[in-house]
Amino acid sequence: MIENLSDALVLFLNIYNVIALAGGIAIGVVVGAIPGMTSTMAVALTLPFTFTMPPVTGILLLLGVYKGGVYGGSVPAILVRAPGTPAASCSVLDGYPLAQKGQAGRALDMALYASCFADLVSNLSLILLVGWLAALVTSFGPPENFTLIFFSLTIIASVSGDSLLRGFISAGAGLLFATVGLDLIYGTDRFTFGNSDLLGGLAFIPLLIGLFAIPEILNGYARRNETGKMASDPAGSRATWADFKSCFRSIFRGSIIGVILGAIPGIGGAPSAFVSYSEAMRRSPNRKNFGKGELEGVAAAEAGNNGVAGSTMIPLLALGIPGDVITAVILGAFMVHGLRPGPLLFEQNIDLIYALFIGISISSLFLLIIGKTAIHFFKHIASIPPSFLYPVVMILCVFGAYAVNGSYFDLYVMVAFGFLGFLMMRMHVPSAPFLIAFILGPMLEDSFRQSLLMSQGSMTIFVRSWITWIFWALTFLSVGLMIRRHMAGNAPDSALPDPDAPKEKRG
Amino acid sequence: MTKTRLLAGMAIAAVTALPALAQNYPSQPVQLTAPYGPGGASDLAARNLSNVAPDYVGQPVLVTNRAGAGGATGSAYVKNSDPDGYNLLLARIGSHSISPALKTSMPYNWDDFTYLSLLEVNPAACATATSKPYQTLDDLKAAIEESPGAITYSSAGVGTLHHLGGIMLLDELGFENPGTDATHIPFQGGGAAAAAAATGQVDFVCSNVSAIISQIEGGQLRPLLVTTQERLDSMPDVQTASELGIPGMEALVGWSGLVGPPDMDEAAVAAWTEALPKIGEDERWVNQTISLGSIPKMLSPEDTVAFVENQYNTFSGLVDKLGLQID
Amino acid sequence: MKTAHKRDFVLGLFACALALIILFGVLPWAVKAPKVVPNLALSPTFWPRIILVSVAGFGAFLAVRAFYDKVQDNDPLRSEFDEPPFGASDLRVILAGGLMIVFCSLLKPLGVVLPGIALLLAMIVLHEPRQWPKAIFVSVIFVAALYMFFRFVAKVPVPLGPLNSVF
Repeated sequence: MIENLSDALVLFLNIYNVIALAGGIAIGVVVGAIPGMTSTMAVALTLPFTFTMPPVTGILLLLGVYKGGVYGGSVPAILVRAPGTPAASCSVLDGYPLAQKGQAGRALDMALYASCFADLVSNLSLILLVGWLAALVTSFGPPENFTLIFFSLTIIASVSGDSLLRGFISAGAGLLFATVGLDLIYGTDRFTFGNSDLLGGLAFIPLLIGLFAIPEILNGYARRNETGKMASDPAGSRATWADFKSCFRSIFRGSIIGVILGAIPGIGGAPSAFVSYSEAMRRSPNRKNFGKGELEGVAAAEAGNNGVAGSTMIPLLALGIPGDVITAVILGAFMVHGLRPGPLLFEQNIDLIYALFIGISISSLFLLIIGKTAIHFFKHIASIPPSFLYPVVMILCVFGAYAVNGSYFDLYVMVAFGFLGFLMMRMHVPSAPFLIAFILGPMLEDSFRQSLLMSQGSMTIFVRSWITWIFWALTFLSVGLMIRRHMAGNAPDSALPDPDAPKEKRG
Repeated sequence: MTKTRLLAGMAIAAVTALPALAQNYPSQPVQLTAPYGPGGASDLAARNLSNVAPDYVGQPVLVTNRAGAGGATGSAYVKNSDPDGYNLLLARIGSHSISPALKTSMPYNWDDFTYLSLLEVNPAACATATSKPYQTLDDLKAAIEESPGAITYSSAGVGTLHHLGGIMLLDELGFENPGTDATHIPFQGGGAAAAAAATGQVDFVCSNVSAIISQIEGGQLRPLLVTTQERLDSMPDVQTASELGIPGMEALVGWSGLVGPPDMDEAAVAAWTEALPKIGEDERWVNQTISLGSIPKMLSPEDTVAFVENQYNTFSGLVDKLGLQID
Repeated sequence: MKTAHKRDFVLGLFACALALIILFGVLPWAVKAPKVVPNLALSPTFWPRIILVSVAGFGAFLAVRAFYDKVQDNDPLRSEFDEPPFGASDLRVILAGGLMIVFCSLLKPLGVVLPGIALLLAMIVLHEPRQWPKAIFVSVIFVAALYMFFRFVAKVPVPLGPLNSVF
């Protein structure tokens, strides 16, 4: 062990590795901060450069880009309501309202601290619990995934704002749009209308940008004479130690949620961010303020989405299974160097694994430093007058959305959903439920039908293991709590918001 | 765009002779569409080619991922793009020989494209989780006979090698209803399909070897057969399909090829058919392809068409025989 | 009836009607299912049907509830929420949306770069007409920089359109 570690140190202690890691994080933060450019894309673009590097350097570079990208996504989410990555879409909910209140700096700071802390927890879990979590992961099949996603969908109720009914309608629309494309199970067409661009379904990033950023841009034209509300004063405010302490419980909880959901193949950062957010909201005394600029909401969302950044490596390293697109790209990087992740790698190349672990464990610190520097630069966005800022954000969105698939069709989708989002905004239909449903809907449907195929139609498969029971229990608990609050009259479901709802105690 | 390019082309043609125009290809970067998402075998094959090809064609080759619908979205895009040689496609077994055989409403046919070359082949293998009781193919066969429909196999989606592999295996083993005697469970992509098999969520999987080799070596998957003619060096104990008496499975070989839109510009075709054999001898490309788990195999355009046609005919024959067409 | 209630009524009715139209008018031909499905819940149409029925239900409920929701009418805090959804100040919004549509229609013939410059310029001028000289400068430089970034750093060839023959 000691010998392995010293070998690993020799393998890691190389200026190129440090440069690769830091450079990767910097690239990731910048690319992630461009609306529409996802960390996935950044990782895929970096991949060819790693072909000629030594394996440890190359993989650390990719990991750096990934981690940087996950954090970077929160910057445009908070500043201009255009999430740079799907996982960052949850940070919009409270981050953007905070920015509108002139507290963008505070929100950006908190997002960074929460990200770094969650990243650290995730990395430590990867290093210390890899065997244990890998065993847990193998017991997740379609039925377990179904119950997990089903539970996650209950958060739609928390992000629906003033009216559950409007939230449900919004979620229904999201679920429906998610069914467009080829049916996974039978390969038949659903709502494709003979259009080959629709065969693969609606692309996520253009839809996301359309739904969030474009309505804000359009609205900027309605109130031209007011001062622009986008990104006002990101530098003036800072998150304090007291802020961090008051959010710490949510950050820690979010990190753990991220670690667990991240280790399960095929779940990823977005559901984790939303579950973490909804848990934080459920437990906060300031519940009413969530969605209107609550710092803890940003902290919880970012902790949830960065908490996956280390643990997604668990199924990859321990089992050779890539859990998401990013780990699939990293698997490619292993393979071009003739390395095959899996149990054998731990036996044959343990020094390499340890060297990676050393690199990974210092990545959180690098992220903190680089992120802090980046915030320093991003603050200049504040000095752009609104008459230039809105159009510039629009063009950024255009280029970002085009780059995802190199497709004009995606731009049409972006603009069309921009109009839909604008109408929803004016009709006070919340767009967050739409988005969550759009992300989770396909996962729910797929795992439901896969389970039924496995069981030959028997519903008993949905209670086949203790994991399913846990998620059913959580679901009932969550729904029960919701109903209780509703009965107590504290969850307003009305055409008008409740202006002076009493700040109730934890329920 | 076409009008302006036509004008520009006429202007150039006016000052230079036509052969000179042919030599001009490529005068700008070539866009190579990978019809699957980043990180997959198709994406890696495309990026590997784009790494080496510029040295031989003289212009950058830029990879764009245009994923969706089992490769159909990206393939349809290239089919409908300008045949000027600046839009190429990395064709795969799924997008070009299985999906067109299986689905009646595809936006293209397999022979709609200008085939430039085969690049590589990926042998396939069928495997089961080591936690499952099936030690041999016969064990699996017996289990399916015992309770038809209860045995499951995972796939990377409808119309993928995994999907047809499962059906083919049952057909070769002599089952009457290969479509239903074992239950097909599609997952989102090859990684998820391999994971489902390795963790024992499903009973078996037929996949390209490169996607399951680490689980096989790691002791989570037990290979039951390989579809190559000879045994593989990486698993010399595993019997080939012919040895097991099901030589029909040998048609199940994954491949990547380089294709262009229909009626592609002749000068562009000539440039690529000249460059590709040289790329096939480039050590960087060969080594990279092998380390990704594939076998480099460049074929002439005619041989490529023959190879794909043969495979397409085998698959569509099977689909017709079993009545598995999808609307 | 307050504006907020009217809005809810219209929204609910619209959602309900649209869901029913899709359910009975579009779904039968736009969602294809295999002839034999072992289980009703496995059919490709099962999920869309459930969603549409639920949306229709929620929409109807929302529309009906608009008549029974009891709130005080004189609360000043609610005035913003009770504004009509669209007003005269939205003319510019419509113009900005129109610019986006024009932009989309120009993509196929002209690529992304030229329409991008035009969209940026037009949107800046729409917001602040007096800034037009600066707007021209910013549009050209910014789009060119973005093009460079995507082409040479991110390796995404953003279509130049007619400019292709120039560069």
